[in-house]
Amino acid sequence: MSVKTPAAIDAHHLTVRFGRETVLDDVTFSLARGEIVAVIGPNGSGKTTLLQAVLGLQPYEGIIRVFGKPVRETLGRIGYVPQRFAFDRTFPLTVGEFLRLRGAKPKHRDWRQAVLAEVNLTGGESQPVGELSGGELQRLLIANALMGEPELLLLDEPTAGVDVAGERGFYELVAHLHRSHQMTVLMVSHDLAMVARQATKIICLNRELVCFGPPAQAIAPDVLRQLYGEGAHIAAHHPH
Amino acid sequence: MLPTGSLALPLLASIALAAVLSWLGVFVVMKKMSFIADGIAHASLAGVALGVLFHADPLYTALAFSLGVGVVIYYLERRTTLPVDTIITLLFTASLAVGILLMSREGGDVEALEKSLFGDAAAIGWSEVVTVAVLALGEVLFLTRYYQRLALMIFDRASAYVAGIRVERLQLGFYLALVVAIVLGIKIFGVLLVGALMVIPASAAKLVSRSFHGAIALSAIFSILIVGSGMPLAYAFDLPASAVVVLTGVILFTFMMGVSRFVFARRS
Repeated sequence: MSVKTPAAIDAHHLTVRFGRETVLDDVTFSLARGEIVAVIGPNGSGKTTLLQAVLGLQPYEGIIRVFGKPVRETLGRIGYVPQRFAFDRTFPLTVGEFLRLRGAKPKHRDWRQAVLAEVNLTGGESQPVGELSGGELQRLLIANALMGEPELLLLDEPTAGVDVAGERGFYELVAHLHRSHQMTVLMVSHDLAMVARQATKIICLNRELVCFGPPAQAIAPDVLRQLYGEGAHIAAHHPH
Repeated sequence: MLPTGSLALPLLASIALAAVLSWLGVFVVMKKMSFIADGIAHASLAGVALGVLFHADPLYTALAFSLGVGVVIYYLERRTTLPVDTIITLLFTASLAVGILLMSREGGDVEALEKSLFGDAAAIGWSEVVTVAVLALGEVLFLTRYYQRLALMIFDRASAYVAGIRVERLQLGFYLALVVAIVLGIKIFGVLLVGALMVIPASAAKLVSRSFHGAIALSAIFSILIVGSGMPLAYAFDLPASAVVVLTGVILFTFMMGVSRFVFARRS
């Protein structure tokens, strides 16, 4: 008799309310381990709220299990890259110091350097964080998430404020990490063309689950209309 | 104003306290909530008034009252959508109003109010030095253990939570550590000026540091320099100690602004 491996994320009848307003209504999905899944939808559709609920940062109704357990018990297996880092650029902090802030799991210098090399941050540990470009800062946030050797990586619109070239490089890095570490990735994104190329599955949200499945099936014209209105289509980025 | 012979004890207590205030100040400046030091200091006046009214040591009644205020700030920040500066303003003005009402009662102790507002370094004796030393040691132990996690929590609460940091407990611990340091500081530097000892050294250190550890170390060094030079100067010229200490800090900050402009101009 085989024992079924728990899914990376199981959400059943997930509902989130802000006061009287229902932000997510009865959302159910299951992510297998090793998938790279993108959450898409218009502004205010509940994408960030979904991630926050999965992390246990947002009160919800329904059931969410991460690796078959309540998220509090699996935090050590999760890496998180926030949408916006409220970082005061003028505050003195080096790249190495930033990676040591987690405190609980001190890692050796070699490990930090390996992680920095993996995300292609070559400025060294003594480089001030305030001197990093938008794309470099996002890669540092990924490095920070990787410090805990996560099995599940959650990214909340990680390329907001990053230029097109940086955005493309960033998604390639995520795909590389997904392949090399066999980690499950759940990311919120606005960039449908990137999502169509990199994701194995897509969750379409508009306060409720509009679609869930592989990109080719999920991003149908009627779904795009339902999400973004008439005239919505996927525009590919062309290299300059 | 103060006999030179009594400098040692106030100086000892002031330097220990200034170093703790400056370390906490790094986080206060990082969180862009410099206002909190003034808020808690003003709120503690109600505690001082309660001490005067009930003939208890105002230091301890102010400490107890302000710890309560710290818990309320933490609770309201968690349970409401009010911005933290609004919460602090509401609490500090309400507490200040209560303090003024209590102080204005017939027989109200105007001298105690003045000492609270402007500090009373001359009144520092061994009992105050021991109290400051014990509580400052507690603060140093707290900061040594948690300073990195505190920084991550201030940068991004969600990242800290996912990293396994118990952010709610840490937030409460941070507020209580702030309250203790500020109320102890009131005894020496006064309600109106204690905030400067938290903000000026940290802000000056931020101007010229390139690393987090450098900023913490420089902030402590600056605070010791400010107090270590300001207090003897005040004693030598018979001037109010807290005012001279703060002005010394402002001079150092201005100098560091010049240094930082020169350094950054050379780098760019």
